[in-house]
Amino acid sequence: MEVVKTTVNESEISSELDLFSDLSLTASAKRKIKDEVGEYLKEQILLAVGEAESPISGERFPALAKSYKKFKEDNNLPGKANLEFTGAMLDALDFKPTTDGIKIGVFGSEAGKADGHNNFSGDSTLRKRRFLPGDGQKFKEEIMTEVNRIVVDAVAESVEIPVAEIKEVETKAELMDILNDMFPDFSFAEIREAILRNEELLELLDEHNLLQFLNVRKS
Amino acid sequence: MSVKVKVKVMLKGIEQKINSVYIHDRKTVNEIGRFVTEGMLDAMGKGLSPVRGFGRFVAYKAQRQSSRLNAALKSLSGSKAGKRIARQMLKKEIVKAESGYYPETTYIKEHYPDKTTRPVNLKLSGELWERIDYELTQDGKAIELGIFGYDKIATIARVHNTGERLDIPQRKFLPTGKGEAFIISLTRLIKDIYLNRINDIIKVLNR
Repeated sequence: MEVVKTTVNESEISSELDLFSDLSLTASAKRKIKDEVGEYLKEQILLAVGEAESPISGERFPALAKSYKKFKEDNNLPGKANLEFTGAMLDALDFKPTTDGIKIGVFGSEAGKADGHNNFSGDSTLRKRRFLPGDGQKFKEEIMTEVNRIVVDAVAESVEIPVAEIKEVETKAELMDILNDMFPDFSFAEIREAILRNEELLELLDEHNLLQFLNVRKS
Repeated sequence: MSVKVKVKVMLKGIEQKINSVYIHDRKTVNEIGRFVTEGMLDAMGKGLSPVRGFGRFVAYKAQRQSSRLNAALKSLSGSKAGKRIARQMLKKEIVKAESGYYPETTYIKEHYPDKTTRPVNLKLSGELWERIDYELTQDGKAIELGIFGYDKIATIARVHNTGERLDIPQRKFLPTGKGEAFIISLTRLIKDIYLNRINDIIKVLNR
């Protein structure tokens, strides 16, 4: 998942993310990925910001200036950098589908405020507290890992299962050939996890005693 | 007459076995209950509904009133003198709104000095939060998660969850409606817990 484009203007500040341009997916898998990843990223941004932390790798939220901290506290708000005063900006955080993924950002009249924190324009004089990934940036590793899992799981749910071939499998190599055909763009570890999270695939492999070939590192 | 208050959701375990071993053992289901409860409170604490599609919780009344009046202030029209008078009146109303409605009232400030206007977190005394709990069903295959009991706290919880009162906006924290689900972050967490359990079963099978 990479940022292919950032946009900043009066009514939008957003990061466009390529989720699957290099993958062969059905239309329904693409729709599901866009929905789930979009919602997941929105949630993760809000959860991180709520802790006064950036969800972006390599970024941090500096503490509030003393005067502004006091101003917030005088207005019955927590004195931490959680980017919330009226709440309007975070309420406007959203995502929109694009051809190969989504764009996530703040849309509408709150975009200017959001750029004040993210400074995509380069014009902001505020301390940078980035919650959207800029050019060349990524979300934190744990978020990226889960996004990848969402993509692989959607593939597992949409892929046609060659049941007849699976019934004939006798060796690990034969199973791996079939799985690599079903999931051409993913590593063994990713495929393995996707199978174990998919009830139908799990049941099928168990039925034919093939789970033994999904090696687990023994503790 | 006591009124039964249902603010619970059933989370069913996966009805699946691997090599005759049920995936959803009591330990796994307990883990799901614990982590989902913690995850719910974490989201709520940041003003985010733990229910998919419900977004962030609606602002408290003091802020809603203040926002409404500020919007009116910005859109005044008419003569200069008329606008000046209207502006003065609106500013007085804004001050009243900011101290006359929840959670900005004198009573709340005196008795719950830590209560802030943001984030909107359904937490005043903490009783509702403390009562969010889960129980395994008798067969150990599912959990009921929510507020148990038929008292005032359960009623407050229901009111928040359903939005049944006109004066209190819906702030859904449990997916009790048909087709409702937890947010993606929580459903992914449940999948991870099951994944760990399945890994453990396969480990034993491969010995």
